[in-house]
Amino acid sequence: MYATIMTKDLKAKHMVTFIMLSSKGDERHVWDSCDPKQITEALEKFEDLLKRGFSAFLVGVDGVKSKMLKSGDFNKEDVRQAEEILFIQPIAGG
Amino acid sequence: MTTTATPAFPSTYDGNTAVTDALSMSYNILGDRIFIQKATDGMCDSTASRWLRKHPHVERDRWLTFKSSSQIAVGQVTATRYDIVEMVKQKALRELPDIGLNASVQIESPLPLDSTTGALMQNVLNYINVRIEEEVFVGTDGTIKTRAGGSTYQLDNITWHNSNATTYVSNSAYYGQNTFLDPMTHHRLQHNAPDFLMGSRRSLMVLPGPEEKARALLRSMIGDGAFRRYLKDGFVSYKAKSGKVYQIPGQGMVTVWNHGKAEQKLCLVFQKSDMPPTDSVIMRLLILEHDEAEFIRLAKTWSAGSPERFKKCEVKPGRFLAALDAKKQGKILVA
Repeated sequence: MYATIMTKDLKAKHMVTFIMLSSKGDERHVWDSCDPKQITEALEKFEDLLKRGFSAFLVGVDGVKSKMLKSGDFNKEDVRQAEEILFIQPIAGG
Repeated sequence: MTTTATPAFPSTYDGNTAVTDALSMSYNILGDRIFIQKATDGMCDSTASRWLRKHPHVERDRWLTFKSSSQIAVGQVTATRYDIVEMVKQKALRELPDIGLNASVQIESPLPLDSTTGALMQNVLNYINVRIEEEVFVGTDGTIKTRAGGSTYQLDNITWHNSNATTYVSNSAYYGQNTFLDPMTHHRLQHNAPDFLMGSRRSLMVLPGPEEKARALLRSMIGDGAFRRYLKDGFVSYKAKSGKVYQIPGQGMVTVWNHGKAEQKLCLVFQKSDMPPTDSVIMRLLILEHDEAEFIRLAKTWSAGSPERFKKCEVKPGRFLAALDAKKQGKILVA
């Protein structure tokens, strides 16, 4: 599957990584923001994680501020252009 | 099954760029575990040394072996190569949890890496994914060798590009053997803040995988300088818009400082209890960055401690100091 993707124009590809913090450190899901099928899958995953109590953040790198995402934010431009979206497990005041 | 002979060694090459890029890529994947094992080419060695000087926290002679030689670490770097590198990186990240720290992957990719070559590289990687044992070498002639078993696999449908401009770049990631840790040490490493690992206890830098990954993620978020401070101090400081400084430790509560005074302690944790400590730093940092008020609302608030508490801990002069004081004041201390 991946090999098929690679035969197309490599530069045009834009890969987005979902990073889910977990007891294993993190789990990653990489998807292509130019592929409609992968976008649909990613959208389902995004909404599913939020329903399960995860919080989603656009990751700020090297000092850039992070931004929290809510249900329905998936189609926003900055999400599509993001490199990494980080999901954190449900939290509670201790 | 199609294979071609290894292309001839090019007369001109840009080894500096190849080495630097390969190092950076390996560093991105494995962080501090990178190290230069051997450079048969003087130029590659000096390039690697320069790179290491810019990354002072990378330990030399530990963990990741980066091999570079004039035979493989040369290349006319093309833009598409970065796509391959990124792909390899993602692949390695996906594989790390499965292969643990006991496997090694060596990937040699022939250049120029156009899309067809990229696809072929991916075939190789897919193959590694199922075949990976202890050490796997992907040869430029389309062979895969496992060092441990001495077996050689020949891939189907592999055709390496063999033009006059073909050169090589190599990334070799060697995952050192996982040192045995007794369950108690493992537990402590898993659940303690980074300062536990500093100073003379460098030998304990063997971190459990999850904590290692969490730290790599934190470093990419806060940058190298802040990450070094985190390793040294055991906490990340964040100055909010309100002017208050939040001290976020790997373990324990967040201390809120206002004009140099500890104001309160805030406790916000994962509902799951087995998360790596650094993941909790990431979580608290992200929420704070997003919305300070939200963080305070979610967290449970505790007092930072009353000043009376510290009065009890005043240091009383010992017998010797008391005698000195008495002497200074012209008094004689009666024993």
